[in-house]
Amino acid sequence: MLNIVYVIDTSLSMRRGVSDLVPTKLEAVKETLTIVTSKILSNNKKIKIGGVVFYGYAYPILPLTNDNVKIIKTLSRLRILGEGSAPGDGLIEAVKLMRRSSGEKKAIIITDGGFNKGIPLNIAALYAWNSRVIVDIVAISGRLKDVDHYYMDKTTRMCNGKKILVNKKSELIKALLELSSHLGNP
Amino acid sequence: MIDLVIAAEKSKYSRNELIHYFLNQLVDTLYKTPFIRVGFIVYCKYAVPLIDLSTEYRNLGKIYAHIPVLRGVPEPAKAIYEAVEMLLDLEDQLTLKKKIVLIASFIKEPSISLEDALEYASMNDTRVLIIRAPQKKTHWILAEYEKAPEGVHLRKNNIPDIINELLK
Repeated sequence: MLNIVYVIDTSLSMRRGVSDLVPTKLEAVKETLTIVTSKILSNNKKIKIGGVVFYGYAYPILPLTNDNVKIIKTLSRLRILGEGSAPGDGLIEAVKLMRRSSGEKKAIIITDGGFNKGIPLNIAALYAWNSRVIVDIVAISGRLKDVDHYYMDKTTRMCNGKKILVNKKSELIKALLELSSHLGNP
Repeated sequence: MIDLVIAAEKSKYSRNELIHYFLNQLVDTLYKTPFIRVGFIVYCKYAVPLIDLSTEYRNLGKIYAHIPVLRGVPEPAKAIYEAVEMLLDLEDQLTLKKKIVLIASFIKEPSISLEDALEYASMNDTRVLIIRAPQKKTHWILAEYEKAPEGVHLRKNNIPDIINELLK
């Protein structure tokens, strides 16, 4: 069994569009995730998908499931939640969602950066690492700062994952399909 | 099986080297004691779970040492709530006793009530052992601290006693 939790940035900056990620980055992420989850679930029933959102806070929005109707319904309800960006809190919620699950575990963080709240991502990564959770990050470029890259690189390195930068919808789909279909770096 | 969650403060107010030493001593003893699962949380203004309840906690001291000193005013109540959540999430038919060890400086007054958190733990059949490890003397906690009957002050020479108390 493979468990994947998407950790989705719903902070204010995701309200803007960039390149063809329109009308907003968040809407593009919702659309892309709908396509990607449908595709991976149709190919493999041994995958369970969960969801967590973060802004200045973080909370789970979807317990692990392979019910695509539930997943799509949850994605359709996603909205911008507020100020701040606390991906570390989001990652911890994701690991907690998978606490009782057996099999491979993976968290995929989708963000446009600007990390400024909550538990530092590299400290949350320690929990993921101890819980044997692979952490990948899809980073939407445009407003990423050096400090965001520092935290993302440290996290993916520690947790055997990958960081992929995207700027277009096609890149976002490709990145999410790739990361959702494979486990960590060999 | 005893399920034990250790919640250790790492702030500029706590005696971090002494706490690290205590954690290493504790892990050495616990490893020789059968039927114990250990979880680990580090906290300051937020509480970070680092190891979920399991029998694989050998590196706990190393992990504590690896974490940087966290900023802000320590919120021990957050650590208690996080620990209770971990104990409840991972409780199973093997669980016989649930315990939390809270290691705190109690130098700065937190904004979240520790008393309420201790009451919440108690309502969930969880015993909390409070260990004080402050950098300097303080008085704010006395009222709440006195209500917590199992509080002790961490010193190098009373570590064996604390561990014995913990294993009762």
